Amino acid sequence: MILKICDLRVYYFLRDKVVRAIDKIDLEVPEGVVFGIVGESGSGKSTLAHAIIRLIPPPGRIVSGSIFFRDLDLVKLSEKELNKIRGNRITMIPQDPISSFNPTVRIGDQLLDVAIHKLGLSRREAAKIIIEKLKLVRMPSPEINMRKYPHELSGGMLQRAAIAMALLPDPDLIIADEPTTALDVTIQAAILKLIRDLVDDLKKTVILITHNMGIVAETCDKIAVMYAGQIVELGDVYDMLSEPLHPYTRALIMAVPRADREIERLEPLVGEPPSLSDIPRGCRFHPRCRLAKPICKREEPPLRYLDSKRAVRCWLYV
Amino acid sequence: MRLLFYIARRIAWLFFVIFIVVTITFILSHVVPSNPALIWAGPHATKQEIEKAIKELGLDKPLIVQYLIYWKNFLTGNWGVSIHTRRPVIEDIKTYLPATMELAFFAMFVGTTLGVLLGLISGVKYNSVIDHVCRIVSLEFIAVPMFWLGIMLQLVLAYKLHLLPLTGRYDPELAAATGFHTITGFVLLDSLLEGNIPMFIDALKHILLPGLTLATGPFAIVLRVTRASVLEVLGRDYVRHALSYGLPRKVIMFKYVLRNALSPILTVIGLEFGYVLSGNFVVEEVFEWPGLGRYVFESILNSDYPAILGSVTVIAIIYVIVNLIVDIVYALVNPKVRY
Amino acid sequence: MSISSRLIYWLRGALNTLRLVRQSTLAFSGLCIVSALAFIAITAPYIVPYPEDIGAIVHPSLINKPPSLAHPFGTDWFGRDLLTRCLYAARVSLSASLIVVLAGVCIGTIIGLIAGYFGGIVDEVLMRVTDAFLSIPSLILAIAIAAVLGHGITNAIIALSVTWWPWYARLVRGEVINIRNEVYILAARAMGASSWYIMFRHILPNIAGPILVNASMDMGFAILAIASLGFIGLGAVPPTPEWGSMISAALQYGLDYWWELVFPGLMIFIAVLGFNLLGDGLRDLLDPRFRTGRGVPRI
Ligand SMILES: Nc1ncnc2c1ncn2[C@@H]1O[C@H](COP(=O)(O)OP(=O)(O)OP(=O)(O)O)[C@@H](O)[C@H]1O
Ligand SMILES: [Mg+2]
Repeated sequence: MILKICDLRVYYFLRDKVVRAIDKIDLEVPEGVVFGIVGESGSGKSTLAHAIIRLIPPPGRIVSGSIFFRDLDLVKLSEKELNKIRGNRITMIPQDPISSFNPTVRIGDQLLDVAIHKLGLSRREAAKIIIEKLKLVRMPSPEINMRKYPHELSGGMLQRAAIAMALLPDPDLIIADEPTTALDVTIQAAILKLIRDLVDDLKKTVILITHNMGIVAETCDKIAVMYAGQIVELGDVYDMLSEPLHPYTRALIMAVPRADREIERLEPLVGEPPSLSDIPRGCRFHPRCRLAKPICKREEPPLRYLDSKRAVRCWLYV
Repeated sequence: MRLLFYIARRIAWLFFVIFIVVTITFILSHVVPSNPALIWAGPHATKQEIEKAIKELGLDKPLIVQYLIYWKNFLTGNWGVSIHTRRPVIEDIKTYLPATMELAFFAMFVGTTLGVLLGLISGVKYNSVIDHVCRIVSLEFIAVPMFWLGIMLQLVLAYKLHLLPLTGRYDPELAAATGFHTITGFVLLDSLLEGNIPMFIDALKHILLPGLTLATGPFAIVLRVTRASVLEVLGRDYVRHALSYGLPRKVIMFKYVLRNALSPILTVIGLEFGYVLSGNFVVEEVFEWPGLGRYVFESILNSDYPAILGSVTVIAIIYVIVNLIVDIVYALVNPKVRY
Repeated sequence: MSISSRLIYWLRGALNTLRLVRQSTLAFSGLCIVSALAFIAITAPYIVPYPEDIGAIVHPSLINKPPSLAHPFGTDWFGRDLLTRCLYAARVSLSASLIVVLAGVCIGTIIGLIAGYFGGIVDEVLMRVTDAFLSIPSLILAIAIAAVLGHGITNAIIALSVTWWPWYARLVRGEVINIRNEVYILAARAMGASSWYIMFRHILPNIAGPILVNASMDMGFAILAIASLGFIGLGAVPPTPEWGSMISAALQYGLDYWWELVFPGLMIFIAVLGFNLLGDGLRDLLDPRFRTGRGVPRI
């Protein structure tokens, strides 16, 4: 296991309410896989990613739990020790590339910062590696674009620069927060292939956050489905897609139109996800669930392992 | 190209403001008073002097002609004769301006540097002891009257403890002994350029009290603005992105936070320069600093209106020019500025 | 709504505000200082220990005496009680500053309303002039005006009032433009309300908050400005006690009689601090945007 999360809770303490963005999450990410995390907007995916490198901004806080990276508990490390891991062994591809680059510094210089300060390279060596990585992510004319300011590049190019930056230090774990949202379809496919290759050839591990089931099916080995700050189902991608158990997972998969499925079986999800500061009693999904039973309204289901790989949080499978 | 256009527009603005300033002083000297000749020639002027003023200013002609004559006099440097020094006002201003500018620049430099540094620390260490101390100190510096602060510093540090000289700009005896002559009018600069170290130290000692007194204003405001701006920038995605790479603190603080927090700070530095220039008017009197502020103070005592109006015009124009420079620097440091 | 229920409603609002102000210690201390000063300013002629010392009077036996029980702030160069004069000066300074700020608010509001509401060429001209005024340090302009008008507190007030408005004009114009196109204004217009009616009925209440905050801060700066003008000889004429001119007069006698320099300045400092604290607190109350520090990571 490269990453093992136990009973993680991350809350945002606002003036008049508490947003429970991550609530009781248990997760194991094995080495050398693409691990997908899927969920609707606001389900806490980014918060989970930020919690792993301990960058939850106040008023948010990791309330409890532990995050083991190999055998280090990241929750307990000092800032100094953490900074040896951030940008060296774990890197992150941010969700919004446009706002994630310093607007007053040229793109190349921002990449150089990482190469110089984290890898201890000389300027010349660093520049060489940066160009190499930029070519890898198919940045058009990298030598020229390096010298541009963020506002002079398109979202897609910034996205690629962000990915190149994440690859620079040759990390063990890459957390990619929706890395392909700003890209058009052809480049999206290329980037996803790149991620696949990282894992297959270089034995890296990637946590891929997305809300797109298509990307999951194409790229991931394992997935976890998040709903309202919790994991409702996890398992190998083939099992999950061929036989989704949780009603929410089913709805997500059904929502993807496919040629081999008849139109009638598309069941659109009704209603809104719950507010994380006012979570319903019982199962968090029950207000939107067609199969809800009386117990679903009363008690929260546990995350139950059906076998060593597959787990689901639903009263239907208890 | 767009930058050039922007600069051209700012310079046009400069001329517009100068136009407004000259118009205001014209109104003050020609329209408001019931007897403008008396304003120009002084309250104790003889009949001939008043006659001369009437002729020179064209006071017997229509207002619009007077206005044009006023402009002609303004542009040709004919700003009248000071009633109490009996020298042309423009000569007096040339004599006294360097001392004022030296003091103002010194105060701006010290106040801004300290303000930015402490504001950065205050913002980064948000809600810590140092943050609270900085906030309270800056609130108090804004509230304290400058002339009074100057007197208090003078009373304690110079008068009671004899740590620093009480008044003046430098020790004239030392200047004579070391054969010091000022070329630019900036004593600190000249003594340094001449390699006259004792003189430089003496001038530094003299400028310390008035300079620090004046610096409190920009210090307090710059600190507050820097803190607020830093807090805002700290919440941005790019700071989190940089943090997620565990970049060194210094790099994040200066390259990622401060550089982006700079725009409002620059704006306020320009405004603060006006604060310092106004402060000169009172602080120079307290420390007997031989600058334009003291000149105006004495002109007020003597109802010396040409001197007052001339000095005010110059100070206002300097202020506008400094702000023009600040605007241009602003455009240069901010690659994304929308002109 | 009946008069009494309206009154109760209003009182409840006032109480709530007071409770909120108390939550912030700084704002509360500001409120206390300002209330105390206002009380002193209003009742000064009746509460000062030596009312006759307000005027031009000489006590030859008491000249330049340091603080004592009978004269806690000491006496001045005419032997007058300094405490009496310092307290009475609060009345002079506060009323002068109040007039300056009110005049500034009125002129600025009218210009801002006109510019923002009518837009176009009117706006362009008014705002260019406003910006030009903003580009000139106002105290320096005030010095020129006051000097030409002649000595005296009235002239100082006029000089400051004339230079005090541009800031408010900008503020009001900005707010007017912000809300000019809101639905309820458009509705009022469509129903045929006159421009002036709309402006005063709908726009003014919306901008009262920011104006109040700035006016409170500005009271502090106006006190400072009055004191500075007084110090350079453009303020109150003796024997009227005014903090700035008291310090400047005392300075003529050197630095030995420190109490004549310390106490008037301390009064200015406290007064300005009071208004600044109050303004800061009000801003926090009225505009939560200014409560910074949300989502700030520790580095
Ligand atoms: N700084 C913050 N303060 C308060 N609440 C926050 C903060 N950041 C996130 N949240 C809340 O935490 C919850 C999870 O947010 P998060 O950004 O992790 O969602 P997400 O799954 O990444 O959504 P998206 O797909 O839109 O990126 C949301 O309800 C959000 O409102
Ligand atoms: Mg997200």
